[in-house]
Amino acid sequence: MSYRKKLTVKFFPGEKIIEVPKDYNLKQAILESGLDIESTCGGVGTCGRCKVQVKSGHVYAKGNKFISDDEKKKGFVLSCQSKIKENIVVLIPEKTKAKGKIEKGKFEIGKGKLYSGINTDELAAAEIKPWIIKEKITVEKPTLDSNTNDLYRLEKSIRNNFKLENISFPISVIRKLPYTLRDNNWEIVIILDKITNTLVNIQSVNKEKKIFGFAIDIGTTTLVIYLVDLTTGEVIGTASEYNPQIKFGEDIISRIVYTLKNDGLKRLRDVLLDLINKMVLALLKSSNIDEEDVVSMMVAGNSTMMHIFYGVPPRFIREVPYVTVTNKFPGTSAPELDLKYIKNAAVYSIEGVASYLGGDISSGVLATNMAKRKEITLFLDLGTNGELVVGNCDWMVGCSCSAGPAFEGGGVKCGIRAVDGAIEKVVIDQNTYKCFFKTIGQGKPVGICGSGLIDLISEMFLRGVIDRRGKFEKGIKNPFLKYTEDEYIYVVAEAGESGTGKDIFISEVDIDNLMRAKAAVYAGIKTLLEEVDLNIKDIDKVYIAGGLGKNINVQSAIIIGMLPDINIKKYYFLGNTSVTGAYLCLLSEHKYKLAEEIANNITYIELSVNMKFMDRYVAGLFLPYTDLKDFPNVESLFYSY
Amino acid sequence: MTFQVPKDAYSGKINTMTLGKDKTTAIIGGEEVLPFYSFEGKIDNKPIIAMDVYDRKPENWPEFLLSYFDDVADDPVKWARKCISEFGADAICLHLTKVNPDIGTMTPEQAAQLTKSLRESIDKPLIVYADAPLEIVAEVMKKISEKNVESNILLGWVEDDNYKTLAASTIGYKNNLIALSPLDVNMAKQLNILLTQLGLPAGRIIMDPSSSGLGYGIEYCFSAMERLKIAALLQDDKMTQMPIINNIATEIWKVKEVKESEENYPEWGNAEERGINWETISVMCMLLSGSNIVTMIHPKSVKVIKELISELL
Repeated sequence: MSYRKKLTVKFFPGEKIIEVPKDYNLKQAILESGLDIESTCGGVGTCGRCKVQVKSGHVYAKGNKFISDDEKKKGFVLSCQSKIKENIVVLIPEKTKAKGKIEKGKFEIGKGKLYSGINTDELAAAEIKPWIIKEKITVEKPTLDSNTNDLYRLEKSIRNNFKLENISFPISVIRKLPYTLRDNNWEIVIILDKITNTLVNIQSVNKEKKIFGFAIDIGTTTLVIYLVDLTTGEVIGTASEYNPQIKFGEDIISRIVYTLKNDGLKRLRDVLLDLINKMVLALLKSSNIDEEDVVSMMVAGNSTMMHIFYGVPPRFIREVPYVTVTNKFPGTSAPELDLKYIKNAAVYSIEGVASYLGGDISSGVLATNMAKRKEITLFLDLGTNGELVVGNCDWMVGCSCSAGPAFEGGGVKCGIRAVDGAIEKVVIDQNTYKCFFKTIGQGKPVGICGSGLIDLISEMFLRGVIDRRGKFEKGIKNPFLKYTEDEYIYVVAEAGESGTGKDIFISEVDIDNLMRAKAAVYAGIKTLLEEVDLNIKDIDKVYIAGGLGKNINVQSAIIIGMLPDINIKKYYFLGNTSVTGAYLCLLSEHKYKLAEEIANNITYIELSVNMKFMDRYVAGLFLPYTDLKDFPNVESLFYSY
Repeated sequence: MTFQVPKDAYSGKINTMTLGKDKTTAIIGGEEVLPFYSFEGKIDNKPIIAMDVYDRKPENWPEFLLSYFDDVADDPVKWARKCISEFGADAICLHLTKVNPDIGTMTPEQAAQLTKSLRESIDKPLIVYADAPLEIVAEVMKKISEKNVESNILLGWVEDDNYKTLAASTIGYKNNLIALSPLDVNMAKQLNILLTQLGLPAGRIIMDPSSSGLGYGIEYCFSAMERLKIAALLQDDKMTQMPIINNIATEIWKVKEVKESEENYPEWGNAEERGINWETISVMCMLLSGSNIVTMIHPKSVKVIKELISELL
């Protein structure tokens, strides 16, 4: 992309400088400089989290409720709502900055190493054999005796070298062909898509450049992108953002409902593509990588997200008998999907299993390598929708239980993602009911993330702040239990000690939402295991993936009855396996085929019509569970208090 | 070899509950087998029929039903006595409607006084339901419990939003409590757990799993109750072993199928016969799925159900 570089923007701290045209969006400029900034609304000015301070120079900022008059005088603006009008200096406040969201570094899965506590021999190892290859090739020079055309000669050479027939040549490549061949003395580098037999690009030998690809996970709540060097497997950069569709509805169902409106599907797709484009551009800029060197993109996501990404109506996923349009979308080119900046890229996505068990799960199962081992593994992806797969190399069954976004911070007033300042660990003093906590990055607390919420419920339950229904005990002397506006809240961090200047708390409604989420997860696990006549004791390993990250306290999750009461040594946290699987597929044609195989081998069990699931869900709306026989260790714990 | 009737083995037993005191005592529950399975084990106490008595003359009962109570409808005490002496009620279920501010002005004290005098003037156990919003029910019942100390009166009702206040006074004044849940085994069980955790003895809790009459979802009641009894008896689940009460009469006598006259619906036949059948069949379903106390209104249906119970048990 070329534009007139006119204005300079200088960022503090870090003294980063970036040049942008006039009227450029300030938040986009921050992202492009390689800095990161928190935002949960996808840049429409409704979350108020991307606040920055303009120290000098003028920006045009739309007025909004998040900036007080006092702050306005001091130059505070919402960066997503601001257009750059002249050279400016911008201070990004500590609490807005979300450290470590763009990380550089290699994605390490080597033999024998430990990853999240498990020996990585158990995970699928990365292998670098992309379906997009980049090879040097010599083309026979034409002579008066052999005067066939340039393209024919190139084709012949490719045919001889790679045993490939019927190759297609885009016009953009043909335009470059005559000079590239002659300037390089008929020895050039070709970039070839082996799945579609398309010559993606040609390069000069002496100006040989690396090729790159993007692995992307489109979650209902979060988007994660890896920029990957396809020749070494190195992850050059990563970025994550909230899914901007959140403002149209927090869960899958409300998104599908939104697509039924006029232009609904287009709107959902537009904001998604817009964000992907921005993230792609930011990653390319911060790593100094040329747009044309990006040759592929591998997408993983749940079925609804994939439908929306491809612009296919997802309506029938929601309606009985719950079917997708397709679980496997065809390979296509980036421009065809309105992906800007990466015009040379071929875009593929990972095949899904069913309506509510999408490509993100096939991708995750691939990453865990459970489909290659004898041991029986339970794989849980705890995102907005809880998805489960159980099985081994011989068989696999899977299901989905709608957990909702509570553990990702949705539907919980002080809930946030696992960013700096998020409370991630909680202990409550038995005598004073005061809450002690630890935040990510050790700074002042700004909210509570999933792991903190699980800890909090567990501690409130053990210390008697809430009863087994998750309702506050109002009969005890608890100074941190307050009545505000129209509901009771338990204050975790008081205004004076918080980073927001306001109380950080949990309300009964928040607890209800979390109870529903945990009940759905456990009911799903119990029902799925029963469908294959297994007991939880038969499970050798439990792998947990998804939005909850790696830091949840298993003990707490068991105490609240979300995870089964088994030896905690059987639990492993793998983080976002969907993007890991996409990364593996991006690098290897073989892995891509394997993911397809996995998708076809998982038997899907529909829980929405399962009476036993509903029954267990209601039993789960109690701490830890109505029937304590399922939680013998928890029983001994709370009766001792 | 002679044929042996196969028998199920039961591991649990329904709790017994004592209603009333001294001469008025009745014991319910205690069965060791599924309802009416006396060929498989002991059923010590038969289910009992509690006849409904209101604190004011019912307004929208069909004429034929009201005619049985016309002479006593203004006085709950007389009404209750008539039910016992003439119609053979095993217990009386008093419905307090005037405590509901939308209907009347009865204070908790007045309600407690009425309950006390009614209890003292009959020789059968007393059940009281307040037909009012949740908070009022708790206030009224607390007062009733206080005025009827150690009388084993059955107080209706608590659910999971008001269980704490009333449970404490039930424990203190040694009465019995109805735990109301919305047609769900787990929620019934959860409420029992919460109540026993507060210190209310399991033997003082009776479950009302919610009832509805024939044609209005009775199969849901049937299935929820059947599952409660199976968990209690076959799986020895202590938190489902409370006896069950079905406050079903009010659900029956308000539906169109029972109230409409024969003139309007000639094809439905005689209105009174229809009503009696409706009540009899509904109550029978409840008994077959495990009810220990049923509420009833029409004297003729009471007669049929009494015969049914004594013939089967």
